[in-house]
Amino acid sequence: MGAVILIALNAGIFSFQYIRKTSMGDSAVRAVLSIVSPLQEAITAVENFTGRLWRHYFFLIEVAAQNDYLKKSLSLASEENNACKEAILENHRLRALVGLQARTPFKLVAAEVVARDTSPWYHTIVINKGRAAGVAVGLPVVMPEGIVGHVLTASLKYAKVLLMTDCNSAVDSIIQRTRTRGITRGASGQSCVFDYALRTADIQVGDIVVSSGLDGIYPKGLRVGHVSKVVRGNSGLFQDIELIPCVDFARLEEVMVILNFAKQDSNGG
Amino acid sequence: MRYLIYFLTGILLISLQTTLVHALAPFIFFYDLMIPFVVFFILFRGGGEGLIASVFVGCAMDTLSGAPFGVYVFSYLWLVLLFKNVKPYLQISDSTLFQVVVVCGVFIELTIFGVVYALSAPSFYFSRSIIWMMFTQLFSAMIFGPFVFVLFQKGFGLMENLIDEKPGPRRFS
Repeated sequence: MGAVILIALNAGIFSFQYIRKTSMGDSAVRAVLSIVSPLQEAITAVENFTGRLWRHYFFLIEVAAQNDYLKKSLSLASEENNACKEAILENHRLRALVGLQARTPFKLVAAEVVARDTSPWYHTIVINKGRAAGVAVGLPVVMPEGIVGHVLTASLKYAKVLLMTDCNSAVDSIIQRTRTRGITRGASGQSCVFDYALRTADIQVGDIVVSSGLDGIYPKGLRVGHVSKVVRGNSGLFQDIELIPCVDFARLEEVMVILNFAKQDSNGG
Repeated sequence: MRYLIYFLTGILLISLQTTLVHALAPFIFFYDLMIPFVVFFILFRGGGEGLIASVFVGCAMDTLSGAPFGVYVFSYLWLVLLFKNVKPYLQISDSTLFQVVVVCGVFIELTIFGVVYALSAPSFYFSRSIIWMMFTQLFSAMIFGPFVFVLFQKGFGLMENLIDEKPGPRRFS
C-alpha cells in the first residue's frame, strides 16, 4: 500500500515538473512574474531607500568620527603647508638680506619690524634692535630693494625708524640715467616726490632714482624709487615729479641697519 | 588695582593698534582705538579719570608715533573738554549714542591732525590717500563703535565686580 502511494506521489511530482517546462507552465510563470515583480521591485526600492537613509542620515556615528579625523588631518596638513610656505618666503627674504650683506662694504645688522606708527598721518616703524646691537640715531635703514629710512630714536633693545615716505623725511638723490640732482621727500600715502629738479632736466617716467650720498645719512647709489609721474608746468623753475619707492612699505617685515656708514664717512670714505 | 588694570588695558590697546590692526588691514586705516577708551572714561568714569587716561595714553601714543610730540595728548584733552561739557545734555547709556560720540571724537582728532600735518609738512594737499584714510577711519568707527562699547562695558563691569570695590558697573545708567 505504501509502495503504491509513493509511486503515485512520484508520478504526480514528475508530471508537475514536466508541466512546468511546457509552454503552459512558462506562461504561468510569466503571469506570476508580471504580477509579483512590480511589487517586489517596489519593496526592494523601499528597502534600498530605507537602507540608504539609515546608512547616510541616521547611522553616521562611524562616518562622523571618520569625518572628524579627516578634517583634523586636513587642518594639520594645511597648517604644515602654510608653515612650509612661510618658511620658503622667509628663506627668500633672508637670502636677499644675506646677499645684500655680502655685496656691501658696510657692517649691517638685521632687524625685525615689531610695530608701526600709531598715526596714519606719519610713517615710522619700530624695529627690534637698539643700542645693544649698535643701532644709533641717524643710521640708515635699508632693504635689498632700496632705502627704508633712518633711525630716529634708539632705546637699548628697540629703535624707531623714520620711513622715507614720511613728510618729514628727505633723501638727497639723483636720477640714475641723467644724474639730475634733487631731494626725495615723503608725500601723503606711500609715495614720494622728487623736488628741485630743474624744468630743463631730462626726466622720464620709469627713470630710477638713487641716493647721492651727499646728505651724510645714506650711502651713495642706494635705490630710492622710480619716477611714476612727470609734470612740467608752463611756469616755475622746477618740475613736479612723483616717485614710487622701491621698497614696499606696506609689507615691510625685516630690515637692515647700516652700522658703520657714519664712521666711514667721517674717515673720508 | 583698578588703575593698574586701566594702565594695562591702555598698553594692550596701543599694542593692538600698532601691530595687529596694521597686519589685518594694511590698506584700511582703522580708527584710533584710544578714542573710545578716552570717551568711555569721560562719559562713564567722570572727568578726573578721563583726564588721567587722556594724558597717559596720549603721552604713550606721542612717544610711539612719528607725529610732533603733544598732538595726541592735546587731541584727547580736547575730547575731555568737549565731551565733559556735552555730557549733561546727553543720555549716553546705549551703544548707539556712544558710537555717535566716538565718530565725533574721530572726526575731531582727524581735524587736529590735519591742521598739524598741514602746518608741519613742507607741502600739503588733500590727496586721494588722505581722503581715503579719513573716510575709512570714520567708517570703521561707525561700524565697530558698538562692539567696542559692549567690550568696554562688559570688561570694565567684570573688573569692577572682581576687585569688588563697588559691586556692579559704575555709572552705566
